Amino acid sequence: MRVGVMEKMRGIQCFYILIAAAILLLLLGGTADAVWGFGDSKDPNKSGLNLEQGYDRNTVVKISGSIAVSPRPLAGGLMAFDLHLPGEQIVVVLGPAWYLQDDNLDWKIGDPVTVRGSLAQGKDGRTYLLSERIISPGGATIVLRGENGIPAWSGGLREGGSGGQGMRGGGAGGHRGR
Amino acid sequence: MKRPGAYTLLLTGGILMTVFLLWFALSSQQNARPVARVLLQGLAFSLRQTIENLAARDPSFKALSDFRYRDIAYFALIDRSGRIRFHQNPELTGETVGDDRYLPAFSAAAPVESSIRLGTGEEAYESHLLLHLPGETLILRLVLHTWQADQIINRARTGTTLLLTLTAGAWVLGFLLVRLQKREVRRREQLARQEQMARLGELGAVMAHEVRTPLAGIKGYAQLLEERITDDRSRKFAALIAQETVRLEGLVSDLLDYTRQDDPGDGCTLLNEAFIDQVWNTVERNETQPAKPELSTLPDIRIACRPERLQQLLINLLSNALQAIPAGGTVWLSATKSRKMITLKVRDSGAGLSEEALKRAFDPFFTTRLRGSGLGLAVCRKIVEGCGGIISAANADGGGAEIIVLLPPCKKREPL
Repeated sequence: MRVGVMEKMRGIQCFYILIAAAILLLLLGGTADAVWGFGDSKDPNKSGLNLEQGYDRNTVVKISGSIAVSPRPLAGGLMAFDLHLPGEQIVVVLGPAWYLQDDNLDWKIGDPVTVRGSLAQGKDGRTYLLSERIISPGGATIVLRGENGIPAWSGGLREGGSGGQGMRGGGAGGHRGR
Repeated sequence: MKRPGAYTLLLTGGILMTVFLLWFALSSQQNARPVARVLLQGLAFSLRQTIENLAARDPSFKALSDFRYRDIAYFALIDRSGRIRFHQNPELTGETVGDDRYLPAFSAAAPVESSIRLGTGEEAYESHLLLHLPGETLILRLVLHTWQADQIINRARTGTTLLLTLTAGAWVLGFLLVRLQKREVRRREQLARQEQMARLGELGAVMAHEVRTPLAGIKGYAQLLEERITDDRSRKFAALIAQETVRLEGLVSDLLDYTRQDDPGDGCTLLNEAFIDQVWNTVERNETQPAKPELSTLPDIRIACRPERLQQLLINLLSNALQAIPAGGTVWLSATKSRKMITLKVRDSGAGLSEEALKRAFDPFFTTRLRGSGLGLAVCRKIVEGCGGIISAANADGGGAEIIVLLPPCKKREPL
């Protein structure tokens, strides 16, 4: 009869082992998500890009379009607006809200703007433009990065340095033009 | 050869199915990466063809300035000296390449490809392809966004995660179903046993009426004869008749106890020394070689069992132990309390139980003694299970048999 008690105990142990195995499998699945490309759900920046400091001269373009979504803060405190282009809509990243607090960003949907910056595609599939300078709807030019790509809020307009991943670095200083 | 049981077949099938699903999920996931790479390679070849045509038609490369494609991060044409002959960012055209990743492409038969991280933080696919233009050969550095290709890998991984989750869920569900099914089988067996007990109870009641009365008469007359007969041999026979009648009365009582339909758990008993003394007095009267048990009990143990049934349980256990020990042997009785159950242990210094006896100790009518009814421990099991407890038998480490009884404590301070 001791056998009966042992069987009962073994059954309970088996049940808990199975539950633990199921949880482990689920956790493994969850870990795989984070490591293999779904992005870390705790990371507010779903793009996977270095939106604040990132810049690459190889992907620099100058494009014009109309504002599709007015400037608003992104997760992480960066200001951005959506730019409407023929066939697509891209996110133009401006800079930290604290840096732009003195700028008049009261731009309306449909206002025309011209932006020069570095293009990148995020892990969320959206195209981002890390802006270097913007000709605002009012005609004013806002310089946000030096030509080397170093952000003005990191001293990029005061001193030179190298930027970009690969083909050429650049070294000109700049000014905050507003 | 022993045929495998249904559970073994089910478990084997489940394991095989799980292994197959895991293999399928992992191989799908592993295949996704090469598929994604082929997609990028195919796109690079198509774009190279287009760029080569545009460049061949317009040696000034002005036509390339207007060439745009959504998946291109950037592209550039580089000559052998490392000079950039064309770049999508016009400011870089004419400058010199700051790396030598393009060089192997001049001698390689296949495109030189790699994964790079752009200054924006983006992971991209870079391919260096030979571009044969009239009069010269250049290298096309083509950097592509990988989001589309990543989607293939991500979908495969979603599938794997889903499959792993479903497999884990199926195992848990399957285990719960098997548990439920086993519980149902146990319930049916219990029901069948109860029905059998009810029938035996009816039989027992008939026996009580029909057998006990004549037995009492036989016993009385046998005792009378024993007193009156002067012949020694005949008096011995009369004594034997009386003795066997007593044994038959005991058997009828055991059978009645075993078939009694009551709820032994409907009560609360304080197990203290006085209660055990009371039990011992009864045992002492019945046994020929009483050896008072060595006690080890905690004070104030309250067991959820009716007092007369708990008394019956202890009498049977102690009698059983006493009958198993040799002259001068010892019986131990202990009671301990854990969080959920009270454990009673009755151990003897006898020879212990055989393997068969361990398996069948609590079966009705199973006995290893010539004159035993085989109902003592069966009654014990009925009482214990009726109280919601568990009873088991084992051979103790120091020799002898040990009966372990787990009984629930009283739920509240019920009046005794």
